[in-house]
Amino acid sequence: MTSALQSSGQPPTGAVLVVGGGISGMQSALDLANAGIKVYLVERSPAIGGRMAQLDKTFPTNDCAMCIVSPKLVEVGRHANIELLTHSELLALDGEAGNFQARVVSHSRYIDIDRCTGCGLCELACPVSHQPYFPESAESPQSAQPAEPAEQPASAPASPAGREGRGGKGGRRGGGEKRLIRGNTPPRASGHEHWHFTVAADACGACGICHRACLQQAVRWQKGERADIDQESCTGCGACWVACPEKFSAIRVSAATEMEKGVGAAVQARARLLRREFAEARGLGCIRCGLCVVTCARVMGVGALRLVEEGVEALVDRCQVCGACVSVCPVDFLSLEQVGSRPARPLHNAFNEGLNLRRPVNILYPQAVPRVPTIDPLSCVRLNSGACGTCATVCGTGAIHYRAEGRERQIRVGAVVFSPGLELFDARRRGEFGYGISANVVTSIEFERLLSASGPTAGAVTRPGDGRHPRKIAWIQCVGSRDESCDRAYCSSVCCMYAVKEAVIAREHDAAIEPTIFFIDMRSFGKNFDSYVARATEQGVRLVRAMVSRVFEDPLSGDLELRYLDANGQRQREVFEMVVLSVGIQVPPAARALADTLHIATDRYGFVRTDPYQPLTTSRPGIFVSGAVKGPKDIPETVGEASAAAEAASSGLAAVRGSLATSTTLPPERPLASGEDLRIGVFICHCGSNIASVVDVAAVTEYARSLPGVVYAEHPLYTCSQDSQERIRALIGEHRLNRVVAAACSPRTHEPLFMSTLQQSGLNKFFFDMANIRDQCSWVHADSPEEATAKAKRLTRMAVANAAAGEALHEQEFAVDSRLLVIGGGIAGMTAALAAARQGFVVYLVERESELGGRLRAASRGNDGRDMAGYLQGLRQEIEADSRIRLFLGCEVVAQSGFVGAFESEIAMPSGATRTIHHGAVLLATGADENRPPLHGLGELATVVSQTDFGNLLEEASPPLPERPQVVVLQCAGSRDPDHLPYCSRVCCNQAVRNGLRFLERYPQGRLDILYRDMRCYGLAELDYRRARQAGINFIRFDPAVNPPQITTSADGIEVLIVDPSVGQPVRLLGDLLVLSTGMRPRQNEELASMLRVPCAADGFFLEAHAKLRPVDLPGEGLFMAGTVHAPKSAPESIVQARAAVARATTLLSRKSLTMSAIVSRVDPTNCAVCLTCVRACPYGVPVINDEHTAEINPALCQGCGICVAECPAKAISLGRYDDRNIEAKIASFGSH
Amino acid sequence: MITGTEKPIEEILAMVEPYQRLILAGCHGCVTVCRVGGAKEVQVLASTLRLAREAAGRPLEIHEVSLERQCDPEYVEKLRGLVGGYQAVLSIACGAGIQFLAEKFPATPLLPGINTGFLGVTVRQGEWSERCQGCGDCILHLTGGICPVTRCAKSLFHGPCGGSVRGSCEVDKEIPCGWQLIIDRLEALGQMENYGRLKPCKGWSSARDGGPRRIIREDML
Repeated sequence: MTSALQSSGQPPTGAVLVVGGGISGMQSALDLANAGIKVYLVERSPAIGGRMAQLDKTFPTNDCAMCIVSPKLVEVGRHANIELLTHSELLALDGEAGNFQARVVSHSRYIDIDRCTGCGLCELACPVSHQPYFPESAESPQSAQPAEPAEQPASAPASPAGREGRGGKGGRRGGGEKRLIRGNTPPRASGHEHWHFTVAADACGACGICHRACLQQAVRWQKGERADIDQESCTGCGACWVACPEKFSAIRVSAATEMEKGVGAAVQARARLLRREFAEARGLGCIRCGLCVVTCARVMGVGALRLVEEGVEALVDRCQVCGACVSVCPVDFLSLEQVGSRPARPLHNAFNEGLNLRRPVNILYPQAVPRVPTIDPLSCVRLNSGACGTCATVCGTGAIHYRAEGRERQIRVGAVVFSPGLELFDARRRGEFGYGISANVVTSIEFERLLSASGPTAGAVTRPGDGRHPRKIAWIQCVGSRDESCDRAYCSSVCCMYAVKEAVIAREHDAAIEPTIFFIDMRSFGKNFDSYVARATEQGVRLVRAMVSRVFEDPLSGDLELRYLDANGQRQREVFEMVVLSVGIQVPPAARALADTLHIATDRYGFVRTDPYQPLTTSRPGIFVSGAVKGPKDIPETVGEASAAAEAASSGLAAVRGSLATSTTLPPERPLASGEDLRIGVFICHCGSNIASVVDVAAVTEYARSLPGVVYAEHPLYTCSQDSQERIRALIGEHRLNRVVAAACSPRTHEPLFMSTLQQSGLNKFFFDMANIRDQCSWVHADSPEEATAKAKRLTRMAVANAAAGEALHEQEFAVDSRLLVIGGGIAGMTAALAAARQGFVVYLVERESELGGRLRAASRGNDGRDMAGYLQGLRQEIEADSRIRLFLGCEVVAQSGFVGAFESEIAMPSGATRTIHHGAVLLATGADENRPPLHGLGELATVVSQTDFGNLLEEASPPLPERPQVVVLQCAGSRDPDHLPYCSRVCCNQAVRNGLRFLERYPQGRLDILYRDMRCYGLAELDYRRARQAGINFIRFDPAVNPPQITTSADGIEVLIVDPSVGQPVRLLGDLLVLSTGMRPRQNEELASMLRVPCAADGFFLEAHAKLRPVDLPGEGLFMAGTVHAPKSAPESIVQARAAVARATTLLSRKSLTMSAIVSRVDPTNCAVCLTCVRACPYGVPVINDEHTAEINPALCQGCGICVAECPAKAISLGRYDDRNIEAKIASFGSH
Repeated sequence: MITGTEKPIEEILAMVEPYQRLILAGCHGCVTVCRVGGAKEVQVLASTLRLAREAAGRPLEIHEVSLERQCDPEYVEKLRGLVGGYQAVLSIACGAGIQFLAEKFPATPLLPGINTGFLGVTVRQGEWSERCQGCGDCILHLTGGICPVTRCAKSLFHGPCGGSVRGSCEVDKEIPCGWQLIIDRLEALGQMENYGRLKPCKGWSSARDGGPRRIIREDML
């Protein structure tokens, strides 16, 4: 990349295009944007979040996926340096590294993303639930634009038949089958909330059709005379209105709520009221409200329905099967099978994996960013037939534009991060498991949605077939993984863990569930995974080592019989009520196509090819890769890789960092005069009709004006819209407001917006408070408008009281030292030092030994068979040649103080002297040791060696082995063993396979037996494992509790006795050499941990700040780690982490200054009892007892969580705007009036 | 530090039953550190009592106060102007503090809000353990820094009794045998000769057996 830049001679562009808005793309975007690089984030779907947003919980911590990812969504959405291009695709990329031109198309959403406030009313109002059958000519939305200008609202009541030739004549026009839909009882006409119909005398053609249509005998008519409606007997079904011929259009509608918007809106409004009124009468028969007929004729322009004496008559061939009549029916009388002759095509909600339906206009998921709907051009009635248009009539901001077109643009960027993500294997390809045939066979991702509280069943585990709660659930592993027959020979890496997690969570949801997981190898190879699986089995998750051969469905009960061979080779059959297929992950075809377009080399499965020691670099310079498109991986690995790819992409752009970044300047803050009177402005939001349809916002506004200190109040349609923000700014100046209160939606999503408006008006942003009268009021009390209004008043009153109690808080800035301290000079430390230097920072690289290289100095070959010594030598020379890297060999860091951006460390030099250095961040890469337990004579006998020894031995010119050597390899020697290392070291299985293949290369006549517990050859390493089996390496499985190998070793040779489960017989192996896969153990990290004030886990490895989303951050600010100091991992994985840690450090070091949060804990020393409670309670280890005998909390380190405030027995700690003063003001206000 | 535990709320409610106006007094000393008598506990207990009495239809007025220490006269004096206006004082300091208040304000009934525990240490957040009985004649230098008076259930002085089983005391398996601890430590320190240097008999007159004790420092008077 660097060389490409030099050759072009042109300065690079300080922007990066990130392809894919999943967790990988988001992390890359944030790390780049926070380091001053402009980011264009291109996402195909309408919202960012990717697969992770679909998950329920995450292993191994059982954190809720949405809870941990949604702050990231919000951050990406709000970041000034990230331009979000959702519903967009990268079409082409020209130019070269440093200066690319990307061609990006943004498909039309038909929604103005800047105007939309995400209130969701359009989705609520849209009546279409199924893919309609449009007339042939209109099948393509592009070819059939609506006949009239799209921006006009749908026809007003005065001219009800605005559209030529549609509706009007009901069932009398055209032939085809008529079907009568009747209930068990005749319709009971209800006039509840009915519209008023009158005849306009001057327009009436005196034809009498309305008279015949009316089933209530309410239309009086005599031949030759004009019709007249008897309001006494009219029930307002609208039959006359629909029947009145278009040329007369003589029937007028009044007293119809929302009719001023359009018929569609009015129908929805009345349906809502009726649904509430007839909640008890659902399914008890037609109430002849007429909404279905009105919708079909006047909204959809189809006219396939007619009210008749016995019920509803349908012209089944005319019906477009859109589902509108069914969705507006308040009593669930109609069904789609009855009204139409063609098969119904439900619009499946893809985010919920098709487990429920969506509307043509929809927001991808509730927490979506941007929270803007998209109209599906294939199913939207307006875009295809020109009818309907209801959504535009209910939209309060005029954000819907049916004629909007997609937009193509050229974007100049310096580099590209390719992270388009994954898709799931199509389980239909394994037909024997019955997916797609048996309703109660689901995929694992569908099961995630069933578990999710925001999923289609609100978190209830039910069978899709009949909605029953299943008791026995089976998981079948490796569906579309490790399976040559469907060209998926690789392992998908994540399925074992997600299946165990789903089983655990399913039991948490419903303790009656008995989960069973059928698996081949339990690949729980990651940090803390084994203990998670152990806990799961204790909690009742049954693990069965067997591959299921077939699933048979009982057609009556829907239960499923599984057939498999058990461990003893016996055929078994067992009945389950539900089956979950653990589907593998693969590269989506669109991603493969894009990779081709971008000229990136991929393998046969579509995974992007990289060099193991350049794990982020694709075959095209300037394009970097991250995430599952490079091979299956879990979330933390993806997050790490995403940071690393960000680092790699920005490496050549360090010189132009900040050149395209946005910066905002704020007006100076107006200080409040002492004793200045409260001047509070209150804004009560309608949120379209989200709030205003339940809460009387005018009454709340009137009430707010009466509250003490309030000098201004109003109720905007959308308080959050751009024009409202401008207005609030103007009002703050005009009325000299010194407090602002918004009673609207959730502060989680909207508080930052309002706060920035305050700042732009020169007001301290903490003079603001929010009352959530939507989520916590109108949404949950929709049926009790009066009480909801009272509650909204009270919530507003409390927010006003809290704002009045608010104080100005200030965020302090301090300068950042841009130098980085790297502790440890192994492969992770060396990689990190070089990467940080390329980013333009001075690096102090401290290595305890007198030579760089770490543990890999002992390895002769790398993962891909390359010469390791040569590789390390190359790194060493690069480091020595780089003037920005100050090397401290034979030195140790002995003391450390300060905080993020301003650390001070003491280094003990070989001479015994100490040297003090200053730096802004720390990168810990002190590695791990090879475990060498004294097992079976390791270290004493020449016939017993470790896996590393074995690898080196195979590289010797003449290894001390006979011509036809017999070697036995013992896996998990001293690993996964409570007496030695309780955890799995992750790398040993792959190492054993690699060494085995190398052994057979050198000794084709030799014999190698590998005794293993689970072969954990995750991801693409499974291909090597497969090759090893094919090459003749003999794999014998053992379980320490069932068939432990009996091993005898001596200087002459070794003997192993073991029962081979594959033959069920004891076997005796004689060998020349016993190779032990011993794993890795942590170094003595306690002193380092105490010096850096960060915790080590019980197993001795350092704990990351967050197991999923901050894998290379230590829990202290400004502290990062990489490599095996975190957990056992391979060298390529350590390289990824090293570059990820540099990316994270760059987000700090690239800044001139850092801002401390204003919300930090402060200790009042006069009250401090020095009891140590805060010191012990703080999860970040921030409070200390200082020399003045009082607790001290460094504001630069405090995370503002408030735990110490709650715990302090002397009430000596306070926290910004969450003081007792605030809480008491709210409570007092709650109880007043 | 002097430790303590909360009294059951029913017991406190019964105690305050006759009163309508109370002072609730905490202490910034030991009881703050062991989380039973600090300013926070004053607020929590006062709120609990108010709510309970409110619910019972007999509202209780409580004045909340936290003294620096209830065992020093200068700090106790700060209550003097207040006590006259209230019917009783509920103290959540240790027994010493409560008695000292009683002594200083003879006309006011004093009510104990906590049960005072022992002289001990914080083993970890939320766990305290007894270490000293204040016998007035310390011999820790001979016993490996482990007190036989406190750590042995019988306060034996010359080795374990027959009830020491596998390092545990016969009183409770959770209690380590004090003498086992002493011997293990002496061995580890190479000081087993100290075992023979213990006093032939322990004089208990300096302990509680000599009656209530007092200390007089002539140099400070």
